[in-house]
Amino acid sequence: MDTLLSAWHAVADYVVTYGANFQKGALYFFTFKNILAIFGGVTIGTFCGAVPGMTITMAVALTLPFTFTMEPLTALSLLSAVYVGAIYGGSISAILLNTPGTPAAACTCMDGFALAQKGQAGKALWMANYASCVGDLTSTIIVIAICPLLGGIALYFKSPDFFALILFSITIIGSLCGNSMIKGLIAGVLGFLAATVGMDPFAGSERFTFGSLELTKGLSFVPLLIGLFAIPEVILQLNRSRKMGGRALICKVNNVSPEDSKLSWAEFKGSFRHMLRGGIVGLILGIIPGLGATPSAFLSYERAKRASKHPELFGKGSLEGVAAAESGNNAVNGATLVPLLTLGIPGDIITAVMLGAFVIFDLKPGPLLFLQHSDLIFGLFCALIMCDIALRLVGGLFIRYAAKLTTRMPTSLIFPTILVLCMFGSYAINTNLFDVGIMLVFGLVGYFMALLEIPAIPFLIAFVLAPMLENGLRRSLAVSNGDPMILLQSPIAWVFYAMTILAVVSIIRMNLKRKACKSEEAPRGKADDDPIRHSV
Amino acid sequence: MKLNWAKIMERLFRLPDGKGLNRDVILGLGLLAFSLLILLWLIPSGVEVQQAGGMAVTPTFFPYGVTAVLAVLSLALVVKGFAAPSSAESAGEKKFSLAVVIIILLLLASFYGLEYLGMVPTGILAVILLVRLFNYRNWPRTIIFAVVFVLLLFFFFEQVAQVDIPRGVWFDDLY
Repeated sequence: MDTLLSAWHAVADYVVTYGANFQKGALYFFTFKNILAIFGGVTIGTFCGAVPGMTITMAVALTLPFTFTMEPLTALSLLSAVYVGAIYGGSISAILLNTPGTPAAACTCMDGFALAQKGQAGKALWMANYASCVGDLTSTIIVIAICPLLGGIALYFKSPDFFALILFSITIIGSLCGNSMIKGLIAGVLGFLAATVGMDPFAGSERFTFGSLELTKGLSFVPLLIGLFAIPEVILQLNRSRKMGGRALICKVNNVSPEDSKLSWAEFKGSFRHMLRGGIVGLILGIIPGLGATPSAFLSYERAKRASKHPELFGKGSLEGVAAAESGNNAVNGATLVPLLTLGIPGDIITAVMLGAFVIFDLKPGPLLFLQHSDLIFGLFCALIMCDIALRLVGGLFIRYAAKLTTRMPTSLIFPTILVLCMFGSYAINTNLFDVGIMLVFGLVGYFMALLEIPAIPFLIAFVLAPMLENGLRRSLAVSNGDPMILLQSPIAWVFYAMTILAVVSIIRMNLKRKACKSEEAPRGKADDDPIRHSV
Repeated sequence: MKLNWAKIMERLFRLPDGKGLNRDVILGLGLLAFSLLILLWLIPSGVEVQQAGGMAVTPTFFPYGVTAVLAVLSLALVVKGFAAPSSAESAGEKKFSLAVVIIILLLLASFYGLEYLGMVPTGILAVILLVRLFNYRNWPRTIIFAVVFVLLLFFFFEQVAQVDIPRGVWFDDLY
């Protein structure tokens, strides 16, 4: 009875503290500029997502320099909104052109374009919009409920536990390796090496600076990020454009009008359960580091097909299929923030960029953030909910007025402007031309990596995780006077080691399975080129 | 016995079907050489070792560990290149071309341009050149687009973000 009573008190305490924090966060968030940042961010993101060739990472990376002078909450709201908008925007070109604007929208192509060919592009676009909102809102509400609880648990972690946790998060690299596991791991190792440039955090001695004062602070994250993800895309698009000759459009424009048909209440109601299920699937897959939006869309689609009364329509123009795919891929938006906010580790490339934004504002994501800056965390939760409202409104306007126009944007005007944005953005972070040089160097590095088919995402994730791994390891060894057994003494660490082994085994199995599928498809002449893994 | 180097090189660096270079082997060997360079020269000369009291590991510990892993992975890539080479077609549209050379030169030139011309003129010139490289043929529109876009960015960063955009050595007093 006493145990029950104390449990009841603990729950009551949690709810009361939670309510007070949420109120503080809401008061902090609901200002004109924050709401403007959300609507602006969703608009930018939707535009970038709808233009094939512009990746989500590029959209978020190019937005980052514009946030330096903003308040932390406004900046983080803007970045979250760009992310949410870009994931949704991918569905527009997927439906109208059968070309996913983002890899996460690849699943939407199957039914979305089939519907467009039947003259129901409007229905597909509206369904994608509603499903994106419902899926994201479902997962966001659950994330908001559990995040502080997980943050509280993470407070008990010590240095060896953090080392084990970072070791586990490094397995993200394995799942983002693309077609070649070895090349992905090489990219990760190169990222670790790049992170060692600068001042040693413990001894205060210089590493690989070779007398350069600028390098003592290490390689700046933002120029490196912008260079690695934006410049190679400009070069590759130029190559494509030159091959096509003449004034190049991003791709052929379908003549189906999005204004031809509206979604009925019965159609929305019929797909609602798939949207909710997609929300849950996206939540689970989003929390697990390294998975992200694309597998979530496909899993949600597959579940919906199994549960549907008309599975035969899937792939031939099913509204339920569009709803499942879109809710699945949008639902990961909030969920990927869970490992970042509670443990301080990025779950995917976008949260790695967000981590960079936190660092710019001298904030350290992790359990302590819930104690020190609870208003910021709960303000960010409010921003995530506001993103869904903005997505519904901006998405609606986009479908009516801008969808076709965006997919017709010529590369000859978009990509040259990106180069200038990169220059201004890299300079603005430290008002230092050296950073522009870093951006250009890493732009070329990124291009040659693409040329040699070495994925850039593991490089960036490793670059972000390396200081945490080194700190965790060296701090633990300093505490134990160099005895490595300290790393094996904590039960929490053991849990993470077990998870690491499980993750490694599942990644190897996944790769073997993919290779088997590839060799089966090869004789039939099918090209296996997983776009997800190359251009998130 | 005299070694036939040409044959050895061909066996080493060309694909078994003769349809191109074995990129995995070349990349693996290149990375192996790079990791040896780091291990034997860059770490000893580029990392200061100050063994402070109570420190369990030196600042070279992490770089040495990571580079050793890089060397092992490079060797694995070489082995993989011989066992299961990637096809030459896999590079697809990512091939090196004249346009790529021009854009790389443009990137390098723009870095020096920033120092001497400043951000705005360099940005305008870069946009105009790139738009032309992207096959857009309308000169007046290209120039107007480049000037308006770069000036908008300039005013945003100068006026809104309060960032002092570099004017360049030559135009420092002009605006």
